Amino acid sequence: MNKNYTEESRLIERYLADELSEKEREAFEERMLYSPALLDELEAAERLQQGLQDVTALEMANIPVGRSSGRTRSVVVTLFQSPQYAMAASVLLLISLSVSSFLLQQSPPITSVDGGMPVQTEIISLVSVRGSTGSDPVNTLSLGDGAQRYVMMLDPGFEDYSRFRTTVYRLENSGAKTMLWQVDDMSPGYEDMLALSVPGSVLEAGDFEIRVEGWRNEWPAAHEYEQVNTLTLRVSSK
Amino acid sequence: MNDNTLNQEREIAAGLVEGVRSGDRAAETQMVERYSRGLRYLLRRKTRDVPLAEDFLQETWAIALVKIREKGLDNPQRLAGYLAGIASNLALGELRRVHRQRTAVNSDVVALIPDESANPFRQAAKAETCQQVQDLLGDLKKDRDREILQCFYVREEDKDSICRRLGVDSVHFNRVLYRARQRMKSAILASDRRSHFQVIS
Repeated sequence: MNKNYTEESRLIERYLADELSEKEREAFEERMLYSPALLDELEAAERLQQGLQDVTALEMANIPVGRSSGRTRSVVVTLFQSPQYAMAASVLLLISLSVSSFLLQQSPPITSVDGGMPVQTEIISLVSVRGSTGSDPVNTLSLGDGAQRYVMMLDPGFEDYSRFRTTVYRLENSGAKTMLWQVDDMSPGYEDMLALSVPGSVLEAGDFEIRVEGWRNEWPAAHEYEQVNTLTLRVSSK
Repeated sequence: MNDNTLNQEREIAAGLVEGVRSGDRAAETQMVERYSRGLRYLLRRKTRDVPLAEDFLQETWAIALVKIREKGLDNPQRLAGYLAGIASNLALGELRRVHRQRTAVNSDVVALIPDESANPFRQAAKAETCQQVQDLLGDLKKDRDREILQCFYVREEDKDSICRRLGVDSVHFNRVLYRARQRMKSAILASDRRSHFQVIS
């Protein structure tokens, strides 16, 4: 995590634990009123705390929390875009282009769309939430807005890995998966997320799976990458 | 803190106060829309009572708008601080009032008070949150990380003692809490998006 974000996160935790001085608390509460981003964090923490308390209470009472088996990780949700992410577009593009990457594909070679010129980039944050069986993918993207590159913000999970690898698969109607794009040696950056840069030409209308895997340097070379996260994305033509 | 954000806020706040002072109803609406979410959160946290927080929110606005319309503010740029102060004082006043009263519980009267927790919408929201937390806990591969969340959010232990007892460093502790919050934010967003697509027949 970057330093500034760690400090902000620590401030939030101290506020929630009532550890701030009176002056610090007043300043924090004043900022809370005009900062939607800060409120998002606080409300998420509040919901998490309440949920943990309720789950703990239910478990102590030996009441099973409803959980149907065989659910797939898919819920209907629309594309998430936030102005705060858009502001970091150029920085993220630099980050994504500077990491080592290689392209794996079975389709004809993808020619560079950059040509050394600035390209319109869209930043999308992929939500990793479970959902009900048989429902549509969590994330959706509508093409045709002119974006030539997409930067996907991905959750790196809870474990500490030395590096991450992200792979984009196209999901065929037959159920098979075609590997389209892979980036290795990634590490969390802005807001502690992984930023995967994908040319727009890789994404055509259809369903995609984005797989995030982690690696630790202390592992032997023969060790497999460990699965961190699997997300689905439905792309539609505008 | 981001200086740009602060400067922007000061500019907006001063403009809103001026607008309200001069009778601009649109400025009043904008002011209420801008700060109500934060005030609501603040009051909910301080009172631990959702209906009471809503009452105090209305009262905060009643107090603030009358003052601003009639006399303005000495420091219009600190509008957010002024509003937070009113809300905090209302909550504190209530806390003192409750402590002062030593009313014996009238069980007949208490029985008539509707149980807000039985509200079906609230119960459904609670169940959804439980499920989201269960999913999140399921994604934690280590019992230790689940223990971190439980100790901090449920048992409300302090960070240092949690780290000492579980043998984790500060960075890992922060990472677990931060990513749990981010995961919760994603779940809330997904839930909110889903609710916008409900078909009403």
